[in-house]
Amino acid sequence: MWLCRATSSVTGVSSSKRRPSWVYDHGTEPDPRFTLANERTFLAWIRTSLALLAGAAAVHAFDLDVSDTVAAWSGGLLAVGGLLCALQAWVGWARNERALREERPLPSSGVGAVLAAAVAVVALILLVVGSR
Amino acid sequence: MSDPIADGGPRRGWTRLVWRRLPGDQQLPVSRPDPGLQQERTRLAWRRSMLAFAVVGLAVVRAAYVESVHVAVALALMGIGIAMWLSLTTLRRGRWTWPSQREPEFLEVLRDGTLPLLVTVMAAVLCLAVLLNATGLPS
Repeated sequence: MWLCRATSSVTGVSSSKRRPSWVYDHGTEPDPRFTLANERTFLAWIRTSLALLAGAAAVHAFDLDVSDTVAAWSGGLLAVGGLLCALQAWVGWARNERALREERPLPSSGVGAVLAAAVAVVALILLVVGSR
Repeated sequence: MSDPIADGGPRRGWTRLVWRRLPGDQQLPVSRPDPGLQQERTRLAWRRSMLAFAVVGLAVVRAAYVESVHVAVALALMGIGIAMWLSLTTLRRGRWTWPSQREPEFLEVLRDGTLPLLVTVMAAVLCLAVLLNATGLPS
């Protein structure tokens, strides 16, 4: 309980005013170290999203030896992957935070596998089409 | 390698600001440090992420400028506005004492989910801009 009070005094807001309510209205304040680790995981997902985005921009900007259709599809797929990553960053952060507050095991996600598949498909397309 | 805590901590330079000065020129840490350096790692993660945002944002705005000036200006204005808000928000989480000197229960956590949501929206907007750019922007 004292831990909860200390953290509330640090954040400066009571749990009822913290958004999203579907996260903060449940459970108790977790160990701040876990919360900070969750925050860093969120940022790692965001950076992954930005890396995919940079890849998409590069496919579009660089004059690759592929047709416009292939470049558009590859760039589009990477951009959609980046969007998916950004959404996963937010949803994953919120789900993890709630699980931490309720002292439940952290939820898993299948987004990583989808992203790996998307990146592999784009790499294969560029490798096969680009080497012709 | 000597243990800074057992040795009484660093005695010179700006680190004096965060080390309590005791009688007899003996210095001891203000509190037991967080051995995981959570606050430093989180702060550096924010810096890496914001640098990545700056680089990717500039690339996207430049690419959009070729296709549509209006979209590029809108993206740039949005980016500047959010960057200013983000700077103020992160500065508010600034530390008076060196974070590793804090007890774990006094580490500063996120105020709520607004900041992650805004960062996510920023990344999503950039993704949509690139997606539109790849498939053809309205000029």
